[in-house]
Amino acid sequence: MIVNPKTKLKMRNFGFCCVILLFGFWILNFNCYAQSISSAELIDNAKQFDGKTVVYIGEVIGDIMIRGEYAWVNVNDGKNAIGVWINKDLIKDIHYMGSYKFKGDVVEVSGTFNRACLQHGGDLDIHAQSLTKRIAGRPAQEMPNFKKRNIVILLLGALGLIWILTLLKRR
Amino acid sequence: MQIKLPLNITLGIITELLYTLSIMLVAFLICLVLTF
Amino acid sequence: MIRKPNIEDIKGIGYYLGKIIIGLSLTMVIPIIIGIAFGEINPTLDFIISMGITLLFGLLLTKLCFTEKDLNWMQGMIIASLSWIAATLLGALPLYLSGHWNSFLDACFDAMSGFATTGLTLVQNLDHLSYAHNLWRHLIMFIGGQGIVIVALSFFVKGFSGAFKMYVGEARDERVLPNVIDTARFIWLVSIAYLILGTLALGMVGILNGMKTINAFFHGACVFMAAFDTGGFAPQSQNILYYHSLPYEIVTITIMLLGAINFKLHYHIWMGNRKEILKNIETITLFMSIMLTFFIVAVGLVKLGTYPQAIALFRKGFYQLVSGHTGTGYMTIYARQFINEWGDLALVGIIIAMGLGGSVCSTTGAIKMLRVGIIFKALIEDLKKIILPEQAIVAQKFHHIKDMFMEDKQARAALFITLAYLALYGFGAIVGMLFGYPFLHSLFESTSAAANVGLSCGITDTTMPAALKLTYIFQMWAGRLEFMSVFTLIGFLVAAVKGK
Repeated sequence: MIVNPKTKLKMRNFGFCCVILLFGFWILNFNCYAQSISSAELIDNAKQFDGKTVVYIGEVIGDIMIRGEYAWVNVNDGKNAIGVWINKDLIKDIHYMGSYKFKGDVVEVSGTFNRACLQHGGDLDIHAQSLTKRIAGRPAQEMPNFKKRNIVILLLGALGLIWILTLLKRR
Repeated sequence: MQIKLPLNITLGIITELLYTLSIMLVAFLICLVLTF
Repeated sequence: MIRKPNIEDIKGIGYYLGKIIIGLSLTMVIPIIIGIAFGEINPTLDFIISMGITLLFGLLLTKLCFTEKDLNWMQGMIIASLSWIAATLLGALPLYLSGHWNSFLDACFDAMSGFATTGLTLVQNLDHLSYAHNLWRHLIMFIGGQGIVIVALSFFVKGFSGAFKMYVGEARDERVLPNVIDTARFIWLVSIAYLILGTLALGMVGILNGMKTINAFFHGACVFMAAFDTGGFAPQSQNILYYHSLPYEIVTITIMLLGAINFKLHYHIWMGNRKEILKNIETITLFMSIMLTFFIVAVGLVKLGTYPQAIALFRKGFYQLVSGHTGTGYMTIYARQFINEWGDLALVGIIIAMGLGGSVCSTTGAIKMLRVGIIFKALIEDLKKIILPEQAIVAQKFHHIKDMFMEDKQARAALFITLAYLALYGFGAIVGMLFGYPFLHSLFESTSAAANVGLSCGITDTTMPAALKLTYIFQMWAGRLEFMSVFTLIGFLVAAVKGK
């Protein structure tokens, strides 16, 4: 079968377009990391971001507070924590909340940023439309610090000595 | 005297709470007036 | 001719300072218990170490400086001022050991901020701090608010006249009850009573808000201690914004205002004299002052359209104002928002409120309402003297528990301390400006430190120059002690060097 050179050209162009489109989608996937905004930027430029859709990434900390159909999830990106108001059906993925004993889930939130949310008495918050878990949290391993334990033993020894000396003095 | 003390303390606490409430109410009134 | 202090003076100071330090070490038992209860191994070790070092230091002082003599005024004042330095250095130990502060200086900053019930903080990663360390941060506000000396005096069984002199050195010169030990005990009674009520209230609101029960009550106790003692530390990095809750805010406003009331007034109201709250010069001045400064703040905010809704104006504008005026420092906004969204007029309103403060003999700082009231009345008296015929005798009265005549020496004392505070606010502002911060922001932060408030517009940060950190530490210390014991200490050191 002889393929028409014109058709061959069209097929090659079509192939090219497919590759470019696929590459484009691949890049777009990275773009949603690149487009996330830090808490410091959001807070410092609150007026510019007011009412806009933003992407915010951070660790869930503290308690998730469920209020009726919605919940407050406080998300800390290392500099500040921002309150995220989200439908309680969307937080089913969150298992770990950050505290002393736990590293919380790192989540990516997309939603409307409010400088002074009128629904919430002027709070600076994000009304999330979507929430994705990016990095799973885990219990934080606490290794007992042996240096400290040794210092404790030393101190207790010193105090014990003073106590004995005081008792002897009374005799 | 035995009964009077806790009663006085309770009423005292209520008095102080009313004072704080009055401050909040007047402040809220100012808010309402200014954002009218 | 200044007399050089002798060994007996120093022994007296050392001995009682040692006793206070021993008392302080005993308070560290509480975080140890909490650390064990929550299974936090390293924090528990941190506190055992700190308690050990503090106890050793206290014992050393009491053994070396043993004396049976009672204290004179100079010694009492110096013990008060030195015990605050000691508490700062020793109270910083467990904080520094936790690893959540970038330097020992930062830990000392937070320790002084805690004891002086300021609330400015340099803590890192607060949302991952252990229960034990977090409790300590709030406990030192409770201790400092009552008075370190008062807490230590509670461990003594019998009183001694020197006790009163230390008490005055800690800026508590109101005799609530004739005996200073009874006064200390009554202050404890009020604080514990409200601690129980406040923790319950906050705990229940927390649970209704969706917090886990254990956290609701832990936060409840911590937030109560910091609110009643008008401190301003909170268990989470977002401060009170973490709770996103109007009921929580209302309860904390209530507690802050209660903490701003003179303990003497608490006593009289609790003993049946309830009408006093309507007649007292301080409660009246506080009410007027809050409304006036809030009016300024509200006008400033409304002009800029920052919070266009009444409830938002209340939950943001009024909350920050009341937090500032009572010297607490709780915030429901981020620090930078003061600069970006409030505008100069509203900031001026807050600065004035911070600078004025709450009642004397309460847990607040700053100039305080009795002095403001007295100065105002003195001004009225002078105006009357000008307006009325020359033969008329003018005697100005004011009501503080009982009707009192205004005496010149009262007005003079009030003006002197007021001037000292204003000078301190200005001093800190100038130091801030020397480091490049703009005037209004420097004045804001300086007033916040010197008046022991704790509201921040963003200057307080771990990257702040060390000299500025030291400046704020000094301001927090001098402001809390109302200058006299600080001046006495400086005078003592001068006499030690220059005296014969």
